[in-house]
Amino acid sequence: MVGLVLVSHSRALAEGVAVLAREMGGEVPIALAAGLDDPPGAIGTDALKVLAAIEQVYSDDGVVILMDLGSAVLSAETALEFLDEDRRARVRLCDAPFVEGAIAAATQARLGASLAQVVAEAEAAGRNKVIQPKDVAVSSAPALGSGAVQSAQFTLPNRLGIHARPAARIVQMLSGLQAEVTLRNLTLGTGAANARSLNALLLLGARQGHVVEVQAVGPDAARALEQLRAFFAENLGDPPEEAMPTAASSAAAHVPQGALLGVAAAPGVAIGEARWVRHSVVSQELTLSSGDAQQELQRLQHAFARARTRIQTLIADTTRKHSAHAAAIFQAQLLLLEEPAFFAAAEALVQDGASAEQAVLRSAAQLAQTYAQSEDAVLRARAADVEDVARHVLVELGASGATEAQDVDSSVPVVLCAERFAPSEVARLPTNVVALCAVQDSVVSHAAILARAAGLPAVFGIGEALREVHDRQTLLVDGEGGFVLSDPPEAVRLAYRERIAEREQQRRQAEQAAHLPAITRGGRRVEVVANIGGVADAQRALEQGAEGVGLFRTEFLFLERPDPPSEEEQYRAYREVATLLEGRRLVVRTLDVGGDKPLPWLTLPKENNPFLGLRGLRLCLARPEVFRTQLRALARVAAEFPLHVMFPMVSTLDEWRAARAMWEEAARPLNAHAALGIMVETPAAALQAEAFAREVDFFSIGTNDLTQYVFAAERGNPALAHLNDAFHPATLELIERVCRAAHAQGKWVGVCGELGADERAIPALVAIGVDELSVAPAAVSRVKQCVRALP
Amino acid sequence: MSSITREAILAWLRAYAEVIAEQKDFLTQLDMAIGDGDHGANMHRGMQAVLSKLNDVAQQDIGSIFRTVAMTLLSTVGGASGPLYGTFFLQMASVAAGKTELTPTEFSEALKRGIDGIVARGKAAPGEKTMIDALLPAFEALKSSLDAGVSFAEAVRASAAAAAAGRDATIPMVAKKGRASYLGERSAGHQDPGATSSHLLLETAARTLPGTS
Repeated sequence: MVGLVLVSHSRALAEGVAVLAREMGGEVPIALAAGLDDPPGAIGTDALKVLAAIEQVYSDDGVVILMDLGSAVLSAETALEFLDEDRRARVRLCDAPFVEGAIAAATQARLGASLAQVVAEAEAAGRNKVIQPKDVAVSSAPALGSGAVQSAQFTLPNRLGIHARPAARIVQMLSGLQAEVTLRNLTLGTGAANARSLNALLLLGARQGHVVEVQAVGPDAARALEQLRAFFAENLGDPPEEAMPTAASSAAAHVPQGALLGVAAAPGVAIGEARWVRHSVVSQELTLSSGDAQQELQRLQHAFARARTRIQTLIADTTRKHSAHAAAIFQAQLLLLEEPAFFAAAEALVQDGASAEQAVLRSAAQLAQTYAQSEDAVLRARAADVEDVARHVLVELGASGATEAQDVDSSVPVVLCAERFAPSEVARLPTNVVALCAVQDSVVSHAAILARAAGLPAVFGIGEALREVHDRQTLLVDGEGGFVLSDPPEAVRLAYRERIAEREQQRRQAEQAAHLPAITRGGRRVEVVANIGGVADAQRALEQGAEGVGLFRTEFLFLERPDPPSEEEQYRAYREVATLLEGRRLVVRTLDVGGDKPLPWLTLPKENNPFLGLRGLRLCLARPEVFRTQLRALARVAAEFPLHVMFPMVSTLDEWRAARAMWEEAARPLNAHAALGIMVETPAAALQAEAFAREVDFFSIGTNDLTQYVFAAERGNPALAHLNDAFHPATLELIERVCRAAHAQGKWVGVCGELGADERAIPALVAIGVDELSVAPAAVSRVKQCVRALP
Repeated sequence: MSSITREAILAWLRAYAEVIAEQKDFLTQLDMAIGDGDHGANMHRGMQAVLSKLNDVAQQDIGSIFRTVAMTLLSTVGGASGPLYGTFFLQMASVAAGKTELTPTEFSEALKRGIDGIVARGKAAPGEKTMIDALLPAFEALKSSLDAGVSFAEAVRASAAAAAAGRDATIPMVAKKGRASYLGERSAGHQDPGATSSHLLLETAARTLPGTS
């Protein structure tokens, strides 16, 4: 890493600049040559101090010297003459402005830039300090601060492009970053949209295949771009399997005579009694103002605040009942509610004499109309969200608290019919509702997404014909054919009942196969859990029937970024997985990096043998500040959810005890509890299994590393492939030893290496006593099946 | 031809420290007009530090003595004159290395090297209101005097006189280097403090270097 020397007349100035530079530069070596020693604190520069500073941070990667002015330059130049030629060639005097140059240089050095790059960036940083002329036209885009504008173009991969959920994610993603970010839809020529405004993002109308240009400026501009890049690469968080039913697919299905055609919004078939839901909020428009604008304003403010709580409750409920994915709909609604323009419009109306109710209705109608007039079906569908949000506020202003959908009587299966459904309505339907039909509404509406999440068949966009259906009429809904049939003839009804029963059975079988426990024929249960790297893996694992998570690799949070994740960020990431698991076992492995997986913000000494070096727990204990942050984040999760914490690369009891002590230090203030365990990767840990078993709550064997250490044969070396034999009696004996020691103390043993998914190995592992197999999400059902076949 | 002994060199440096001590307030006054007002204090601090080290190196060759002066000034003066005078003596040291006395020609050559060092370091040209404006005429006068065959004592006096004239010539100049250049035209009308301390260096040389011979 390139080192920095700051030469200044003033010690205080250099120290201040060093603080600023370290904020950006993290571990970048920085040395100061500033002020005089005698008298202490005297102003001046000293060539010999510069020389000493160079020597202090010198490496063959080079040193950049930044100077304030005058004699600082002369002293630095003089110092260079005392260096030998080799070193002098790797030391550069940089004529960038002191402050800007130091910060830019530190940032680049930390990113691992070459000496020439560091100098070039530092010098460019000076040139970028151009104060914007005052007469620049103000656009809807935020004023770009100083600093280089970074930009990138992306082609949107997902079908719906930047719809409400991704837009909300983008707003959240940028909330912690110091960067002004704007997006332009180059395909439609819309924008620039401030990336912190949900509405502005949605109105870009950015869809699949559109090219979006992102511009970012500010200290975190690079990070903002990086995160957006990753987000776009992940299909903007949309599951690839969420294929939208289309009107075209409806046409292909066999449609009985007399059926009302719509679009298939959510798959499945159902028969039930029709019930109409009629929304009556329009009557609120008649509410007169109290005449006191101040009082109305207060009512408005309170109603907005309480509506916020309502939506937050919906988020929590939906997360619990369905998924975080479905709950994101309400996250987006929350942002809509918080959209300053929405409240400001209502506020202005109140100031003009409107009642709070009128103000909410009119400002919402205005916003909804912007969406409704869009040519884009997805944007049009957002109008329903605006109305839904307005409804929450109106309810808080005294409108009826429950929607009519919640009032349907629960004695019979009911098919709900409506003009269109509010997302919040769909999220809290009574359980006897078996299907949804709507006059308007589309497959891309949030109501449709929620219906799919809830497994409710839905046909939307049926049109005026649906109004002919009256309450208590029998309705057959085919959410795949995209039609409804009122009063179906007996024959059709029977055929559908059979089809429904058949579906149900297939579904159950499929579900059971994946979700049944894995029990050997001899009656021994082996838990099959998953190795995951994040919440998407966890989701997939659960779908595959994983009984929990046996290894949550936390590295993903730490890699490919210029600085370590904050406690809050880690907490949110771990909590998201814990929430998804709903109490199933979650084993989180603490940061497992080292010389073989370097991190840009963590300067590590070069090691000849990184696999035998400072990695896993060793590194965490050597860098306690990083470890503590992670443990605090985990402790916060442990205070809310059952949690297992596992330390990697343990070889001595002392290491384990040190880690345990640090955990306790983090957990005690929160009164948090977690099961603590170790990964068995070193032969030393396996050989001391009896001693460990008295103290740890569980073991998990990392067979990949254990094998490489048992045979002293590097995993990646093809010439040693024959030695990488996890089946070898030597490895198996160590695993057996751990199982014996653990079971003697009533502790359990898992295997989280590749061996656990190897069908040839599973019989042996189960036979020697392994209690848990933690495997890739895709392998879960196969491994379960394999266990069931064992004697 | 008389030679310049080590003792004469030591006497020169001690006398310079003494003169700077006497003149430091004047130098500071000059610097306050067009600079940051620290030249007198800086030079005084540097030369006092030099003074405290001279006894330790009094028995070494002149090159070592100059080198010690250079290193001491580099790390104690603090302002631009630190690296400039430091470089000056460092370059002088390269000519005087291993010698316990210098011929007038050698001294002249050492002076030339020292001045070249300052020019290279400060990137100043004559007429920019710097030390160079005193030092270059001083060297030229020394060299031409020696070439004309006059005694060293006479040559170094001529050199000091040229330095004084050069110093005075800085008064109407507009500063192009250093903190004084920030003043632009307003720097005209003031005597340059660097040229003043440079003149003092030559003035003391004229008093001390010819020795008793």
